[in-house]
Amino acid sequence: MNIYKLTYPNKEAAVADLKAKNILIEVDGIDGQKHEAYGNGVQAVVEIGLIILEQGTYDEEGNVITEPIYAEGYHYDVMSSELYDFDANLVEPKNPKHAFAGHAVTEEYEPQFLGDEA
Amino acid sequence: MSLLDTASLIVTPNGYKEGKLYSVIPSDGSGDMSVGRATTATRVNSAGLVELVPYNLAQYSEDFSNPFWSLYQASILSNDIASPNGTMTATKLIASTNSVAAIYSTGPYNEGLKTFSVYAKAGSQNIVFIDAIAIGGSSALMRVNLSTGALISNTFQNTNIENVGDGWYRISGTYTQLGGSLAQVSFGFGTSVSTNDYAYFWGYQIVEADTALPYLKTETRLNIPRLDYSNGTCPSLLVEPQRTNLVTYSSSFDNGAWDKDGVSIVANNITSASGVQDADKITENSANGIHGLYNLNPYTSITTATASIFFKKGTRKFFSIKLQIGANSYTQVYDSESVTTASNTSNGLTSVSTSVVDFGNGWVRATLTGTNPSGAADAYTVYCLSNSGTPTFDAVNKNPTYQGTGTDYGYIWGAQVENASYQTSYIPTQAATVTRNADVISKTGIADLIGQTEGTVFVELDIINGAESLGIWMRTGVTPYNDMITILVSQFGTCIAEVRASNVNQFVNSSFSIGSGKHKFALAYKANDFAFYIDGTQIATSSSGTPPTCDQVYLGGYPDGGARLSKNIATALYKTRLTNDELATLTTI
Repeated sequence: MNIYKLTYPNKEAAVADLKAKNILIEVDGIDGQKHEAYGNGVQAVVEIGLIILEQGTYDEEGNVITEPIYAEGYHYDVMSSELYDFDANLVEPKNPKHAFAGHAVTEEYEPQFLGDEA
Repeated sequence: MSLLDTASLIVTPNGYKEGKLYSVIPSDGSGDMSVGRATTATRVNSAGLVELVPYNLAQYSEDFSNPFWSLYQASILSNDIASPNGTMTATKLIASTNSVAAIYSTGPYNEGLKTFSVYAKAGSQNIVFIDAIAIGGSSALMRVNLSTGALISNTFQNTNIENVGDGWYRISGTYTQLGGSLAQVSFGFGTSVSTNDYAYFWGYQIVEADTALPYLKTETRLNIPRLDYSNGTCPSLLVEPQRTNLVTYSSSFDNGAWDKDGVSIVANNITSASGVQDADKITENSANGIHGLYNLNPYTSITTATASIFFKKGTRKFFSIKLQIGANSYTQVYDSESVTTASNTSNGLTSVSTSVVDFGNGWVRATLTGTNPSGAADAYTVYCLSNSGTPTFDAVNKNPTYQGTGTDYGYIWGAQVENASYQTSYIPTQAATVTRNADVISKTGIADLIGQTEGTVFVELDIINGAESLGIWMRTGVTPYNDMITILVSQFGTCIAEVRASNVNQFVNSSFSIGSGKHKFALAYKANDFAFYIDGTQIATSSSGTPPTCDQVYLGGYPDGGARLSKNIATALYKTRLTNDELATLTTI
């Protein structure tokens, strides 16, 4: 299973690319209307959206005092058995803000062994 | 002979393994359902505890040649000797040098209490170790003499060495890691090693518990069906849609991701609804004001959200959830002792629903759903202690406000916010938000098990208010709805039976509504002869229409990510149209 972490200029660009790659498809619903669904091999499409780098500040009524600072771009995660070429939209964040359950967020680590007492 | 004996396919929440739910009939494997989710998930187990599925956190627990595992100064021979369960699946670990030889995984694994275990058997080496090492260096190590079963050295909190016969020992150590993830778990040998020394290992397991649980074999860990016991001793097959817990550090309220206002937190103070000591104590200060905590970073682009949290009373039994989306909010107070909702204050959110459910041992899970009529906006949740079921709400921030005592407290665990209109099972998080994918329970290519010109479909469901339950959906080909037979219950409780052929409805009924709880449904079909029964009562019949031929079955969800929330207790197919009397008998509660 492949996990793709993606960033786009905005949501519209993201959805357009996901549809162009048949990750998001339209199917005829039971009600006769078109419905969005996952394409072949797609397990999940997660709209992460904006990522806050620095929180905003708010008064007691929730009014914004200072706006939060967001990471550049609009973000999606895709899990699929299919291979895609996302080109520049594919990113490899060091501290990802989203994960899939059971898929570890790996960190670089040099193994060490306490049992080394030969 | 009972009606069940004549079924062509019976599926119940019973035997399973990764990626498969065994059918009762047929028993030759041809009716076994495929299970896909590609993530882990949680369920309520038979002991009533919220449990990760599977509870063995280690992947490929018997296959140390898998890339999940790494070798340190060693080589291995897989399937070299008989394992403790008699299969030829034990691994021989061979030293490449005259120093430590080990098999290890770098995880990482979340902080908290865990028990690590592995089966080991002496070869030329009879002293073996297991260890767990955290980022930052804290660690635990135990060494065992497999010739005597004696513990030689140990820095785990607790250990156990069990002789399981034929030279095999199951060795286990319990360790609580706080302040960061575990970066490495390993086992091997490192005492007076000579090159080519060897020992045998099998069945590695990590569990979030203070003892080694019964060994559970794993591979990917990702596609295990969930047998859920949340409604008693009879399990149901839990099928849920894709959901993301937007809360970070969902059970670590001492973390800086949570802003505390008038409270202090003691981490991992009491046993949670999971059975592990990982619930936090929340104590109010002596100020006159609110006593709670909230997420520092807002959840963005939220229109409808469902917030939930587990609470256990201490000296305070009342607590509240406030959901704010944009400028609108709703605050609900709950009574954890009587497991009821108390007072509330409504400040602009619409389509509000609340619930509180008993999870045993004093734990309740409270839920609040609301919609912002102004559309998508940033959202916050606030969880507060309350001194009363009818507290004074702060005029500005709408949370319970009172003079704190400085000593009164409660316990909290498992906060969750979902961008959706109803709550699903708990999704644990740490630094990142986490998604549980949709469950897909399906079987294709089984036209021989499905009545083609006539038949009967039976499902027993545990209906949940506010969520659409898809009992069964049968189809042919890849076009979702052209040829299908389905039974579902809408989020409003409307029971729908539908038969469609060549994209034309042959039989449709949606005239009957039911409440939550267990219900039995049967839909019989034959050319110009249809009948729909619920709980022993005839709902509808029809004497016109032609059924489609189907060769695929889906339980609880569609294959395109469109899973519904379903608790399926039993499914049966018949290749004949049962009589109306038989339909009544089959569906009688």
